[in-house]
Amino acid sequence: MSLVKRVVGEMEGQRALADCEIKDFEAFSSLVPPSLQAAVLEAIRAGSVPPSLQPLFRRLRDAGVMVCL
Amino acid sequence: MSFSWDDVNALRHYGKFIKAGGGIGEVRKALAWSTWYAVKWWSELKHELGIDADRNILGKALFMSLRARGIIDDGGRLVKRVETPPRPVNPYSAEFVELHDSFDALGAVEVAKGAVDRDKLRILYSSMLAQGWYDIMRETFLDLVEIGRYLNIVEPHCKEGQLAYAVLRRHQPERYLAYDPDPDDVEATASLLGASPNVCAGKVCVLQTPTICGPAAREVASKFAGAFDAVLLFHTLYWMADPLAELRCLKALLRPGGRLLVGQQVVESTPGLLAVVVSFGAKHVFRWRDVEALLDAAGFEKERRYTRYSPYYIAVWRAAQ
Repeated sequence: MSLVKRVVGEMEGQRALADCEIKDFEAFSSLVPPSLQAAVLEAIRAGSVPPSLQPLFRRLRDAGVMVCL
Repeated sequence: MSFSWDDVNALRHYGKFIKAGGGIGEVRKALAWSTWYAVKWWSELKHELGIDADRNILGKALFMSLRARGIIDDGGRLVKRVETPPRPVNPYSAEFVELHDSFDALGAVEVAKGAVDRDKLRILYSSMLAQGWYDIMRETFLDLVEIGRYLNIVEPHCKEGQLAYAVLRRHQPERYLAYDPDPDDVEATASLLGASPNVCAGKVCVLQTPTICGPAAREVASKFAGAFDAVLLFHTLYWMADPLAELRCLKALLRPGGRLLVGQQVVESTPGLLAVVVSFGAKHVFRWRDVEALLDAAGFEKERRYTRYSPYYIAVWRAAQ
């Protein structure tokens, strides 16, 4: 598969995000390892979630650590 | 620096993982932290729970893995001193240690007593599956077992679907069946794969079932793919309520000579990581020889073993006739 096709495929796999924010920073910072916290915050800022983070976003929402409008 | 036979095999077959982790020195620091944390957690459990320390799955994993290393004796007493290792600086090795830090913040005793909220453990588990070191471990495993050779694949206990996603991203199997007992995990997997739960049309089927042994689940699987070419077990055996029964049922779904692609953390692998993962709901912990005995008893023949325990057990088994 060409690089362009792969990049397009990865972009298609991204899920658009509604307006999300971290509601419980204490839980977020203690449960999500620091390097991953940066990736989560980056995805919130960008307004889209890469596939690798989609299950984690789901868990954070289910636990009320993150809220999305 | 000495190397065991398994270390040499890990270098041979898991070079990509070790390279990404910053080389042997950095990976060894990360692994040393896993052992250091295991000793810390075991000491806390012994102190708080006394003789009940190993009567839960976390304590059992810690006891068996530290005993296998000769760090504790049969009574669970520390007999070998474990020094605090230097912190790795490579990003992948560092985030492996961070996972241990996060688990430690929950409190091993609280986890062992079942006092930690399930949602918190699920977030930590999801975090682990999304970490870069885990992704490289998953990708290296799929390379090693040559996943591209198999067109019809079944994956038990698919959890949140990251392994299925990794397979489908790199390979075009004709049929991929993933199943799990947990409805939340089935939803997460289906969402990640762009499928609908329990709708087995197209090339992906994500099924909610505790076991593939039931007649309805078996029928769905057979109708979906006929006979499967491979069963994919990547750190899966410890989730199964009855691994022997499940393996026998999976064997019945395979075509003659179909393969079982196995990656499994065992007590001889990284002790802290094993303890963290079993806390997410594992029902068993295994020694590498237990894994082989189980696969043998279920009617599989070993085709090739890559590693026994370092970084974890990896082998390809074939369904015996």
